Amino acid sequence: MGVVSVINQKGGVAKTTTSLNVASCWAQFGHRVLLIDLDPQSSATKAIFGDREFDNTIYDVLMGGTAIQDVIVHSDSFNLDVVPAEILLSGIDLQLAAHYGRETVLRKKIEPVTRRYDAILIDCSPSLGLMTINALMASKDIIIPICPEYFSLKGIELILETLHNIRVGLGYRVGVRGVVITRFRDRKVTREVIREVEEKFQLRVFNQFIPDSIAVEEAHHNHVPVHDYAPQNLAAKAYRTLAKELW
Amino acid sequence: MGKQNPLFVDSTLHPGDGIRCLFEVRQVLLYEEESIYLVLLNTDGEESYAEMSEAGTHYEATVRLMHELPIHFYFAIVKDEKLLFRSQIVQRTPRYTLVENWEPVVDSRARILFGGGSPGAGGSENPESSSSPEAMDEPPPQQPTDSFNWEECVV
Ligand SMILES: Nc1ncnc2c1ncn2[C@@H]1O[C@H](COP(=O)(O)OP(=O)(O)OP(=O)(O)O)[C@@H](O)[C@H]1O
Ligand SMILES: [Mg+2]
Repeated sequence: MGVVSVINQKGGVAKTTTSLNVASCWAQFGHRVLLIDLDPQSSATKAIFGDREFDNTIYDVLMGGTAIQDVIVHSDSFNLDVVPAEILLSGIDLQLAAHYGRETVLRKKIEPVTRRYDAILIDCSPSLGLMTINALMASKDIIIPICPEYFSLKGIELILETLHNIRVGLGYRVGVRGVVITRFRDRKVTREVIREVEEKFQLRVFNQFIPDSIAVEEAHHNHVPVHDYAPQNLAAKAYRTLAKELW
Repeated sequence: MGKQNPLFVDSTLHPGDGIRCLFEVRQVLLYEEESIYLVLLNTDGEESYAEMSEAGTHYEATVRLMHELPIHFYFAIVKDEKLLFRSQIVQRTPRYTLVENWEPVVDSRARILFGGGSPGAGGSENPESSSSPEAMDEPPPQQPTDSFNWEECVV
């Protein structure tokens, strides 16, 4: 499986929700999974660990001499290894900008642990800055979650343009595993967006859509995966099926 | 292409560092026995070329170039050593990959003999052929009247 980034520069499309729940389903299936929170908002870290504070985070790994092995924390509730994030990450683009090899810092830093895991999932922030470039340069593939609406296609176009720019300028080809439909409600625009994604962008749309459900939000607040919080819930079942499809 | 976002410039390279640049030309349809060449022009207008190979939906060739130092080039479709079509000469700044769409020049001179010599092996996919396609150094075409004067074409 290797390293996979969950990316969309649009905010609130369920990148974090998808990363958390897919990662914990994979872990439940028996895979060794590492989740890296690469968002200064630290939503994944907070959803898993609540208000717990960490001495070292991905920030220290990227900026200092801290080894990634030393910041990995295990979550029993999610059954996952996690690299937490912190708000300091928000200034890192500027701090790294003049670094030699600034676009491959993350790739080099995670190299020592890649063989320990069957999958490493990176929850990206809603931006296409240097951190996201680092995530992409460290990834074999990406997964793009979208909540179908009229502007979703513009977002996909931007992501594909970024992948193109990475290929041209940095000489690295990132694959697109496919698009995940999140917060699904059956509306006309949803079907139109899905058709465009498949026909215009020639991307795979995963069969399993994730329905809108309050249980998803509640699970976040209870710091557990949705499939543990409400196993019979449709969104919980959907994430489990999606996780199988994504593997 | 145009403006370059510094995010996408390899910070480990300086302008002028040697790189292997992959050229891709898209939206080209070749008929039997036709081949497509990448033709690079140096500052004196001398051309060197590399045959492009089919790669799924496009054609490609890799040549050694210098990072971020602008180059001029065009594509040429050749059959039986005759030039059938060529594209406009464009200037680009090479990084790792250059992607272009095939757009033939529509003018009366489009069907001109490619020249006496065979198109040559080209430097494609050969990292050893440094300072780019030397292997492509073929003498300019020697055709008396309807010969193709590469220099004239520099835009
Ligand atoms: N299937 C769903 N049903 C209901 N609510 C959902 C669902 N998926 C996500 N949400 C809610 O939508 C909000 C945004 O989700 P999430 O934080 O995962 O998005 P994000 O793309 O990571 O956002 P950001 O761009 O800020 O990182 C959260 O409050 C989350 O609980
Ligand atoms: Mg998020």
